[in-house]
Amino acid sequence: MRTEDELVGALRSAADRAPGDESLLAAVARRRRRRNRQRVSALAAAAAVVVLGMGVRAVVWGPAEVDSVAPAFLATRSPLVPPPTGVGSPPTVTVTPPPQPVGTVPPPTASVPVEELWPGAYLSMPARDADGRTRRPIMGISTSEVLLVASGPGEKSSRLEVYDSVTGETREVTTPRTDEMNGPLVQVAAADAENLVWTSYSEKDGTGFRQIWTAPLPGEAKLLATFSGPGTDIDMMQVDGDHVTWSERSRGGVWRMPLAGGTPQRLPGSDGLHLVDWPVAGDVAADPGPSVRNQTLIADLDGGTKTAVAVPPGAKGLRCARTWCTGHDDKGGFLQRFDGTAVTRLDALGVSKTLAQAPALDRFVYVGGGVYDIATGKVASIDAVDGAWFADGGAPGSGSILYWENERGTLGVLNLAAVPPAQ
Amino acid sequence: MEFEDFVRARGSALLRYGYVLTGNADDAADLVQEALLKLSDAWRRVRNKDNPESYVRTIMARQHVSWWRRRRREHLTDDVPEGSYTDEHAFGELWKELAALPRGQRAVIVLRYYEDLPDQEIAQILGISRGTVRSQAFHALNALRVKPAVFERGRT
Repeated sequence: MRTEDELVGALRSAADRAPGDESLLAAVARRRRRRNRQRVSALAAAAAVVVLGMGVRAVVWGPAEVDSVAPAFLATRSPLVPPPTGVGSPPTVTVTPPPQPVGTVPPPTASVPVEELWPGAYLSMPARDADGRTRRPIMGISTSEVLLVASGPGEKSSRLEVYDSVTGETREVTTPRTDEMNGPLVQVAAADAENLVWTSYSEKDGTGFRQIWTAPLPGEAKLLATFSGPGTDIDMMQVDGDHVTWSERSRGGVWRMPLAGGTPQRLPGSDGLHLVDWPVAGDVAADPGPSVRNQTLIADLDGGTKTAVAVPPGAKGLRCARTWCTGHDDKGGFLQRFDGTAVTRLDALGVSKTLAQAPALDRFVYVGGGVYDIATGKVASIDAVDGAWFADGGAPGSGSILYWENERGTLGVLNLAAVPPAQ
Repeated sequence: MEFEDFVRARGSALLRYGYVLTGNADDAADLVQEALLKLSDAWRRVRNKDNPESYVRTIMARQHVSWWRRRRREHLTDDVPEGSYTDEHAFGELWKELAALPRGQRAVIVLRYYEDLPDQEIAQILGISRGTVRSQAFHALNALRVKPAVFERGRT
């Protein structure tokens, strides 16, 4: 995820490229002359704009939209790919869809409040810790534990914590070190049951650079890598056993290195690819974004194979997790397996027509006002006045966590990793 | 101050604002010129009673949203500002993704993060409710993958 500071920086940098104002007065004068000649028709057009504008506003900003998510690394591992065996393994595995009959997606049912449908996956927690730091859920690391980052103003000081929904207690994992870092201390973060990785971003002498850190759960932070240049923009990162894997947003390309330390290695054959769920990768960044570009292939970086995604005519923003893909077209949103089977229309559920987003955990689709469970057809509704946020969930937009403001000062949290498997 | 003096003094800043609002130089110039034309019509009243800069920026924000609804022009991914950035690719990507936002959302983002305005003021400028401002910002930031300090902004 990016920070507000980065957004401010992007806007201000862009403003520096604005056109000059040398002829502004003359241009206004020309415009006035032209307007005087066309005054009658211009007034008619302006009246039409007002009416259209009001109508569109009501449509565009309807309150029911909940935008959202992406892929799935906490997912129950399907038999899609074998366990990772490290870098450079021989290409012996073929990516094939798991056996599942065509057209078996249960139809969406009436929505049920999330705390009733999945009581074990819902929790409420204070929005701030005892020191007044703002808490932000990052991902579920087990069915009862949620990884948090607790940040002071501007995220210049942060602490990584684990909240236990059974005991209601929080334990500190580690405090990111602040050596020479003047930017956000925790951006992209990921974890499994044993280890945590995160990135920090900073600038020095006009150059942006990124660091990758790791710590055992719990344990002392250790710097793994520092780099600058184009590769600093990471779209996805995962920790998997004793390795961390990530991909570059801008250029594509997947990197991997041991948590014990060493030299990051750009995986052969990963040019232009983006991590989806190690060792699965795709040809577009998997985290949610406004792109209309479709994902056209799924690659197995461990086995060295690539499989085409069946992209239906008219589809936009098709994004796939290991098995399931979501996309949108002129009629609305749809769901399918990556081989093009089991197509299900989601138009009635209010799927975003603008965001490209893969199903979370290869199972959940964020829809207007809640979450659609592909496995059961059930829809969990979320009563959030200001909408729900998807958390980093192990990578930008990975979405194993949804959270929202409940009553003032508390967060409602849905840990999708704790949703029971479908019966 | 006369209208011409105002344009000479503030034209550059308005073009910067217009560029961030629209995403490209042609539309920025178009937007600023149109807003200044309206300002010139109302100059005597605005100069005496209101803040001309605030007035013209409000016109620009509103007009930007209306224009885009009317014209439906697409400037999706190609209009990345030239030149180097501190973190070139990160900002370049963010700039591209801003271009894909609905115009109303973009206006909210620019007013909030470029103009640094509180949500209540943004609501007044755009003529929408504060809840709608929050909703638009929510969707825009989600699309941009920007994590906001959501629990500290505009909650009163």
